[in-house]
Amino acid sequence: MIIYNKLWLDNLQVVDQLQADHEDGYITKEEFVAIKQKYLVGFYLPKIVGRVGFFILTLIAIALSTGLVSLMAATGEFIESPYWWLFLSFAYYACTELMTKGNKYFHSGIDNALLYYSAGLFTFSIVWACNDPANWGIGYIPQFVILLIAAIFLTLRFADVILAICSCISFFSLIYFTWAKTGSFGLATMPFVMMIAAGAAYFVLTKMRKDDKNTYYHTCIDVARCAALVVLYLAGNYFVVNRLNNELHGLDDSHTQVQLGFFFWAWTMLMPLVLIALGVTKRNRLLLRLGIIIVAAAVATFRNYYHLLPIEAMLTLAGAILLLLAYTVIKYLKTPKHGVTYAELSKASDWDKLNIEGFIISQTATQTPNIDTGQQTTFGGGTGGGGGSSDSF
Amino acid sequence: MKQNIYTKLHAEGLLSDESFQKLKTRHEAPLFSVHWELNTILYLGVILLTGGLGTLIYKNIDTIGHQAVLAIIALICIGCFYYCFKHKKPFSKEKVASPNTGYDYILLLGSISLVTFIGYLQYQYGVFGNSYGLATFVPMALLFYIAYDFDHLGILSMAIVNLGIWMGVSVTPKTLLMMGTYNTPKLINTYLVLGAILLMAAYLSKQLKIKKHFKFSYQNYGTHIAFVALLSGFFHYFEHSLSLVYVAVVFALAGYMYRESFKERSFYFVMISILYGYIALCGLAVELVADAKLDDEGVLYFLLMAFIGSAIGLIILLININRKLKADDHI
Repeated sequence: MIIYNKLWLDNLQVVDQLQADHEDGYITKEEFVAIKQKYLVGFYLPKIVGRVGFFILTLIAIALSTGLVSLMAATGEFIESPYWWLFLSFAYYACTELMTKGNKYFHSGIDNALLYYSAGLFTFSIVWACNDPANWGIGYIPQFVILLIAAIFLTLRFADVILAICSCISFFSLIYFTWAKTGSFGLATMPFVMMIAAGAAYFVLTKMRKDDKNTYYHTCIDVARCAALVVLYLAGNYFVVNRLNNELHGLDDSHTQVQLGFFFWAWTMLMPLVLIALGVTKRNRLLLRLGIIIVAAAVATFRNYYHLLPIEAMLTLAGAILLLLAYTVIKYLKTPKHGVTYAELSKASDWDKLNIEGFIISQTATQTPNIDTGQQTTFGGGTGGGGGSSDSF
Repeated sequence: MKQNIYTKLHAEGLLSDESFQKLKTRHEAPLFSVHWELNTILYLGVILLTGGLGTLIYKNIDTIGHQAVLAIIALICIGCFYYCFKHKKPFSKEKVASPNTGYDYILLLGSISLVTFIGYLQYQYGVFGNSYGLATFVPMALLFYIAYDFDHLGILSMAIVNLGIWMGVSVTPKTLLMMGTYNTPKLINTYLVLGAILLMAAYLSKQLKIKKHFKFSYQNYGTHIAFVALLSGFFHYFEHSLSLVYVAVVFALAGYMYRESFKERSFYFVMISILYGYIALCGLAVELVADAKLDDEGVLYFLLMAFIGSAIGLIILLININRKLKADDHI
């Protein structure tokens, strides 16, 4: 099913893992080089900078090609139907297949761009055809069935995380629209149905993650698990449930009560804490990080309904609490406890070398001086600019 | 799964007994590091706290009074720098590792409050009078001093941004992406000078061996600012013959950067110089075609095909360069 050379995938896994061990100083350089030579990987694997560059350039080339071909075909009526875009999608898909095999790409940027473009065109034409009465006009459910099948096929073929997310979106949309078909009863029980679906999906995916047969799809499965947990949380989030309820009964948004409100509040507030606790005890980074992010969602939900404090007091308090919390935990973990440590265990990755932190600091921390800039250019620009330049040379 | 790999490698004689034992003990009792998570929370805490306090003071300025606010900011600033000077390692031309993680954040907080303090003084009391140059020069100079003395890349970025402010332009990454805002010749030239200064600083950092790891930041800002300014100049004078001068400088700079980066085996800068050169080339092609005044559908087709062909050619070229550099590539 998978398009890539399986032997290379296996070797890549070994090399990747041993590379991390080598960078952390667990094996010697000679050992690593020997392993790399024995476990050959034939894929074309540029670093992240190269991948991003190739991705953008390929997208430009494809977009221009689409423009050119469409321009040449513009004389007929064919171009005004979804079939034209479907045809282009298949053409690009053929390119993806041929180039991935021929040039030994493995998520190298070029194949990603081709694949996403092809998938995007496919989605566009299917959505168009399904919702346009002049074409098929068959509605949401068949549309999401088609998209789900296509997304799962592409995920299995290319082991790509973006397509794994697309599969999840199609899956949960399909469940939503199918259940909504059952009328007001369907909408009333929607949160529970979505919870069950997401929980079941998470359970099945976790089972699949443990199976050695699925080793090529580990990242995809992890991403899908993440998506399932997010849906699980949102399905019981008070704000989401409240809005859905208002929609159902045709109420405006000033209406803030829902049935079983207690249950949904508990769900909103407790689930992030449960995730964090599970993440720490089970040594699961995915759950831990997701839990931290969802705490923010929980706070935002709470604040939407209860304005206990003005926003600035809330920010100050939250900042102080976070700092205090981090400080306490760092102090507590000075010596590792229960196998949890604050120390950095792995060396800096590619991303750290790019100095992302400096980038963020320069963007966020210089907000105030920016206001000065406006003043500078309007009435002080001349002195600053002219004087400065001659001085420094 | 992981254990199986090690056992297999060991059996094949690719792992020595010693390494195998080390790896085995590591994975038998794995440590779970929450370094990244805690650092994120710390950074978030600093942002929320400063944002919240700032708004709080802004809203209650009548009851608190400016002196009190200044005093609070000064206290924070002094406290931070007292800590940092106490734990500081001696200055060295090489990279100096920070004594602990908190240190970097405290230095950052101190620097931000220092800049705020000076800005506040100028805004409220006008200590520098009308000499706006001086009002922005002082924080910039201080920031550069802090960046070098305490060896902090984030503060170096702040200092570079302040250098731009002193010269009267904004250089946050966001404004750099919006090329359209560079629309007056004066602004374009200021950016050009700034880019040249930064590129010079990058060159000197390496040549004089002072904080060589700062070179990347200088070069990164300098390259983008210089190229974006040159390209804006080119498009600003699009109809003039002056645009040819700008495009010539783009090619010259791109060629020089390409050669230098190739020597340093930095694919990032090789790619950037090629891309900016390519944009200029495309612009030139459009200009030439527009000059020839061929109002024909054929011209459009020709241009589209030329762009497609050259884009594909560019990808192949970059792939080849990447292969060549692969022997040992950093960013």
